[in-house]
Amino acid sequence: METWLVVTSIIIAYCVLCIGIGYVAGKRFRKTIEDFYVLSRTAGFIVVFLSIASTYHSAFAFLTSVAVFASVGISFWIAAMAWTTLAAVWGYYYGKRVFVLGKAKGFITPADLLADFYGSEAMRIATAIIQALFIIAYIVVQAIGLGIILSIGSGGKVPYETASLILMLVAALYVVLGGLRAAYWTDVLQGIWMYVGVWLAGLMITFRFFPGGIGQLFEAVKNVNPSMLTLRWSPDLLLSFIVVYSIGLMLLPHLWIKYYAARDTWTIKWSSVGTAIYLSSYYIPAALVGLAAAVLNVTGAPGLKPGFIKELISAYGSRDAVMAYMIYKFTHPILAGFLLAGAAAAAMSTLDSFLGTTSLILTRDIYQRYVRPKASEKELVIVGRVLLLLWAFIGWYLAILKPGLIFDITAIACAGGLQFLPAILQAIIPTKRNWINKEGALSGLIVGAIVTAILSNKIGGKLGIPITFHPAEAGMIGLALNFIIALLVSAVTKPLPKEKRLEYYEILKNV
Amino acid sequence: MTRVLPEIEYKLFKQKRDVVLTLAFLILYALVFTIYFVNEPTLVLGVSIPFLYSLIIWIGIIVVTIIAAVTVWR
Repeated sequence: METWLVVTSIIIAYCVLCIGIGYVAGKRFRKTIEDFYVLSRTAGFIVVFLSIASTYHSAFAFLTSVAVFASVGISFWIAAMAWTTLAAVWGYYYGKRVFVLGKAKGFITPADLLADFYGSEAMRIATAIIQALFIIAYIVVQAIGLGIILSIGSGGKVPYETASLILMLVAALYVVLGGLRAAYWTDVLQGIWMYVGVWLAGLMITFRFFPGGIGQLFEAVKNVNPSMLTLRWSPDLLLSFIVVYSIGLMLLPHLWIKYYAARDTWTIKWSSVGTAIYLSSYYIPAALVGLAAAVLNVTGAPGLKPGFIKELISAYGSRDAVMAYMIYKFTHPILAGFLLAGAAAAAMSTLDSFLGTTSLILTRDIYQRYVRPKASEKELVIVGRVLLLLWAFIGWYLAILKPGLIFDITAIACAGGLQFLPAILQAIIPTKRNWINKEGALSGLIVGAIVTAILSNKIGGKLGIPITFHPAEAGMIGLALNFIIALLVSAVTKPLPKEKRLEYYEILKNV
Repeated sequence: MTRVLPEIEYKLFKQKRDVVLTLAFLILYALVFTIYFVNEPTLVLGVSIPFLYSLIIWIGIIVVTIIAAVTVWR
């Protein structure tokens, strides 16, 4: 059987398995919005840990990490080991508080919490809209990844655009069938699959070309381009990446609501430890493949022409295809199918959560509140499913425009998530003085989000803004302005009612 | 008659060990930025110095995370 047929068949088998899980999850669905989105708050350690870990790692981890390793070398590892562990530590500190508040007050969306604390429906709308918009960037990232994976896995027989659409629809289908319950369940499968996959791929590809192991690989990199073995990012860029890909990413709604789903704080504590180890160690094999690709791109190898990365860029719009290409070319077809299905798992495990979360936000925070307040639970679930499909199509459409490197596009979404930091800090840390009130939080959030968008080279640059930055740096500038405005506006307007702050204090005082 | 509300006396750090571990995290993350001082491609133990240095910091962060989970985190 031809390689492409074997690989494609395995990817299809994986998709069928995911849809089957979605179907079974749907059978156990209790037809309430709380069950559809946060598993009736009963998720234990394995589900929360693997769900957070696999949702955090996406096409970004499987594809773009290798691509960035292949272009800037170990700089990516230095930043990524810091941001992944910081994400886990921050996830514990904020996730535990979000969990306690969610359980005490029945929150399901991030907007539920912020609107309740600040006593502001405007805050609810702003949160829902800003999150739903920034999330699009992340959906696009997964759509790009899925297009690359199936297109390469099929030996180019399924075009990138069609490949992306097929796998997007698979993810949308199992979330429609089983809600976020299906996403949580498939996350467990995908979390294990992608981790085993990346290690297998990393070790097999590295030892195929560098049988002497890591020492030989580093020696070869040194001969080809020694600067790849040093930290090449400037300190401000390094800081931006560390903050944006950790705190910013964890504040996006798809990860935020994972904490609502947890059973107890013990679950969150050990999930955070597991997440720190899982997320960071994932980048070790990715580094090996990326560095190997950098060497082979110069020296070439049997079956691989020097400069092959340039060809991939012209075919896929970025160097993101390096990992999938290396797997397809240099592993046994059955293993390639397994590994590329693992890559699809990485993208889908994030995509499903994003699609489910976006539909949740728009259904609960906008439709239920302002369009049809008397809608039944059944109607809300149907509306949620329609919105889920709509967001999947928007993401796919933008992905076929080949907007660039996944690494940069992901930063847009995470930089948007980072803008919720000032508002959430005041809500989860009950300070004696009210530093940030309703007006401050809202104005800071809006200004921060707008500044982040227009200063990002991927958005502002296209709008003709003369000075733009990498989205991660734009996010940091947005955050600084956000904090300043939130504090200044709060200082000259009425503080939040003490009763509300005391209510949160009572819930959080023993946390 | 106005109701007198109690004061908010929230302690972010419940015990001394909490402060110590938070400081340990801060120091470890600050150390990431000291990699610029050893930023040479020279190979030691088969890997470059910045890579080796970052591996040590990474192991330190993981160890402190586990210690925090066992002793302080609830």
